[in-house]
Amino acid sequence: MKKKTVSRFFSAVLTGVMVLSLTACGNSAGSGTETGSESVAAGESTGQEAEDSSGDKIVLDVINYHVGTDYAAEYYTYLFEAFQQTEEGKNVEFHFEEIPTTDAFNQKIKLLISSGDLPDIVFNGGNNITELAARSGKVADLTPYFEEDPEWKALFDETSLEFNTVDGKIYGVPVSKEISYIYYNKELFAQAGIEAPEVSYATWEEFFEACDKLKAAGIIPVGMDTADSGWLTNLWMSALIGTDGEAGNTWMNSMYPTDFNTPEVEAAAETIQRMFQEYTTADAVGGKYDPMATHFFNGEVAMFPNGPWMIPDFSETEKAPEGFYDKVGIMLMPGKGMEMVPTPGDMVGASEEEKIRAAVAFLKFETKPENQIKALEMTGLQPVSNDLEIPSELTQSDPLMAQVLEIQNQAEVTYGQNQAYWYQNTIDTFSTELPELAYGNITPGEFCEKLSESAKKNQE
Amino acid sequence: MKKTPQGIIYAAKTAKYIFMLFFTLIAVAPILWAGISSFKTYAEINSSALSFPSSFRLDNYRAAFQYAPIARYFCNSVIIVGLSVLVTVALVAMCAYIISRFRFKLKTLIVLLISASLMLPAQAISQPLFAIFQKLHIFDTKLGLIIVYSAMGIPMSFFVMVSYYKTISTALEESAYIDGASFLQTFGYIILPLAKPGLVTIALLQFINTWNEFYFALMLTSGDSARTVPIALNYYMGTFANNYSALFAAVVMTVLPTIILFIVLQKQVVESLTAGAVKG
Repeated sequence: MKKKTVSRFFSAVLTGVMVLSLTACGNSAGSGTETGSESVAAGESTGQEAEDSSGDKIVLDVINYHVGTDYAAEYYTYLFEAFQQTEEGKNVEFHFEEIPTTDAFNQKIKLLISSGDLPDIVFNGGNNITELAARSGKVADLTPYFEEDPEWKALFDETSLEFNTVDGKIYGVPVSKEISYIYYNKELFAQAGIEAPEVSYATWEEFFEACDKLKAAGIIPVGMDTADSGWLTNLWMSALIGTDGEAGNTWMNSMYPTDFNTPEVEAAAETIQRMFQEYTTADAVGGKYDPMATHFFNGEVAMFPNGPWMIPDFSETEKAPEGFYDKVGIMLMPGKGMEMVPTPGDMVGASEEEKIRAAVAFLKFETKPENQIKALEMTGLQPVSNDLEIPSELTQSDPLMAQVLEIQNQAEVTYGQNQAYWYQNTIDTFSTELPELAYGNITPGEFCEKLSESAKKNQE
Repeated sequence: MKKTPQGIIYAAKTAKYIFMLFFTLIAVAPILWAGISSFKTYAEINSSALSFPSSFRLDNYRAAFQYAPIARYFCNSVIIVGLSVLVTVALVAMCAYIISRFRFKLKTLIVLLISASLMLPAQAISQPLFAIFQKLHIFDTKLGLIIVYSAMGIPMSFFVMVSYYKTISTALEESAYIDGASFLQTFGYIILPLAKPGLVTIALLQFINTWNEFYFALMLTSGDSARTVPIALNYYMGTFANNYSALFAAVVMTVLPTIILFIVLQKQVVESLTAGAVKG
C-alpha cells in the first residue's frame, strides 16, 4: 500500500515537472533573460519584444565572448554602454548572445557563417574567421566606409588593414595590435649578480650567458610550457626564428608556412630542446600557462615571455604576492626583437544598410583614440594606431604599461607568432610534439618534419 | 573438515577492506580534490595542486555566482537531462523489446538505420539541425535539446537493451500468454520488471553523456533559457584570465546535488541492478 502511494506520488511529480518544463520550453523561444547570455543592453525587454517595443531603435545582434572572467569583459561592458550615450549610438540597442571563451565562440561563428545567420557585429576570435566569412559573402565590405571617412582610415597603418583585406576588400576593423617581449624579475637578476639590459640582450649568446648565471645562482631562468598550444614556448620559438637573420625574419612573418625544415626553424627547435632540458622548470613539459605564470609571480622563474595583458595580473594579490609589480622589468627579445602581429578585426554581418551603418558607427567608436587608450588602461590591449598621445598620468599610474609603449618603439626586428600565422592543425602538432622534443625522443629535424607534414595536409 | 585459521580470516578481511578502500579513494579523490580546491586561491591552486587551502574561503562560491548564471543553467540541466533520460528509456524499452522478440519486414533496415546514426559525428549534423530547429521554432528551447539528446542516446541504449531482452527467457512470456495475459500486460507486468537492471544501466549512461554534453548545448541555443552546466563552466575560463577557484566552486555546486541524489537513490539502483540477476 505504502509502496503504491510512493509510486503515485513520484508519477505525479514527474508528470508535473514534464508539463511545467515543456510549457517553459514553449515560452522560451521568444523570451529573454535578465542576466547572462542573452540580454538587451539598456532595455527592459529582450529578443523579439525588444524590436517591437523599441520603436525607431535599431537593434544590433552581437555575440560577445568577452564575458565571465575574460580579461576584457569589463572594458566591453563599458564600451557598449558608452556607445549608447553618443549621438550615433543613442538609437541603437544591443541584443547579446554570450559565448564564453574564444574556442567556443569560433565553433559557433563557423556554424553561423555556413548557415548565413551571422550577428550584426561579428567579433573576431581569430582562427582564420576573417577569410572564411569574407569568402562566404556573409559579411559586409567595409572599404566604402573607410573611403568616406579618411580621418578614421588614417588611424590604421597599412599592415593592419592589409591583414584584414580579402581580395582587395577590407572586411575587418582591427581594434588592437598584439605584441610580446620578456618580463624579468629584477630581484632575481640582482641575486644572480646580473644587470639587465636596458632594451634587450644584443645576441642570444648573451641571453644564454645570463641564463647560465641565473642557473648557477640556483634560479630557474625561463618559463616554458607545452599544453594548450604551448603559448610560452611558441613565443620563445617565434623569437628565435624571427631574429635569425633576414631569412628567419621573412619566414616568421609569412602566413601559413608549410616548410618547417629550414635551417632557421631547425636551429630554433634545437635551442628550444636545450631550453627545456637546461633552463626551465620541471613541470614545463606537459604544463600550461597558469601554473607557469604562478612560478613567475612567486619569484621561482626569472624570465617570462608574454604581452601587456599580463601587467594587470602583477598587482592582483589573488595571483601575485603584494609588491610584485615593482619587481618586474621589461626587455625585448635578444637582438631587439619583438613579436608584433596585427589582430584580425571585427566585422559586420548585418545586411540592411541602416544596420550596417549602425554597426560601423560602433566599430568607429571602438577604435576612437580615446577608447584605444581606455582599452590599454583597462585590459593592456595595445592601441592599433601608431601615434596616439599617451596620457602622462599613465607613467604614474601604470609605469610598466608606459614602459611597454616606450620600449616597443625601440624594436628593430618584428615578427609574427605561430598562433596568428600557422594552420590550426600545425599549432596542435607543435603542442603535442613539444614533449617528445623536450625529452629527446625526436630530433629537432624530426620535430620540424612533423610540423611540415601537418601544415601540408591543408594543401592536399 | 579442517577449520581455516583465524589469522588467515583476519588477513583476508583486511585485504578485502584495503582493496575496497583503494578503489573508493580512486573514485572519491577527484571529487575531494575539486572540493578542496574550491576553497583555495588562484596562487594556491597553481603553486601546489595537492596542498590544503590556507583558509576556507567562501569568496570563491560568491565569485562563481558573480561570473556565470550557474543556478539557472543547473536547473536547465536538471530538466533537459531528466526528461531526455525519461524519453530515451521509455522509447528504447519498447523499441528494443519488439526488435529482440519479433520478426517482421524491414526489421533489418530499422536496426541498420539506428546503427547508422551511431556513426554520425556531431559536427556533421549541427548545421542541418540548426536550420531545422529554427524552422520548427524550437531553436534555443529546452524541448530542442531534449529531442537531440534523446535521439543521440537512443542508438547505444537500444543495443544495450536488445542484448538484455535476449537474456530473458521467452518461456516466461509464453506462460503469461497461456494464463490469458495480453501483449501489453505481458510487457508491462512480466518483461519490464525483469528488464529493470538494463533500464537502469541505460538511464545512467544517458544521464552521464547528456549531463556533460557541450557542443549541441552551445550550437542549438543562444540564451539562458536552455543553456546547461557545461557552458556555465566555460565562463570561468576566459582568455588570459582563468578563475580556477570559482570554477572549482561551480563544479562542486553542480556535481554535489547529483551525487547526493545518487547516494539517496543508491538502494533502488543497486536493487534494480541485482534484481535481474536473481530473476533473469
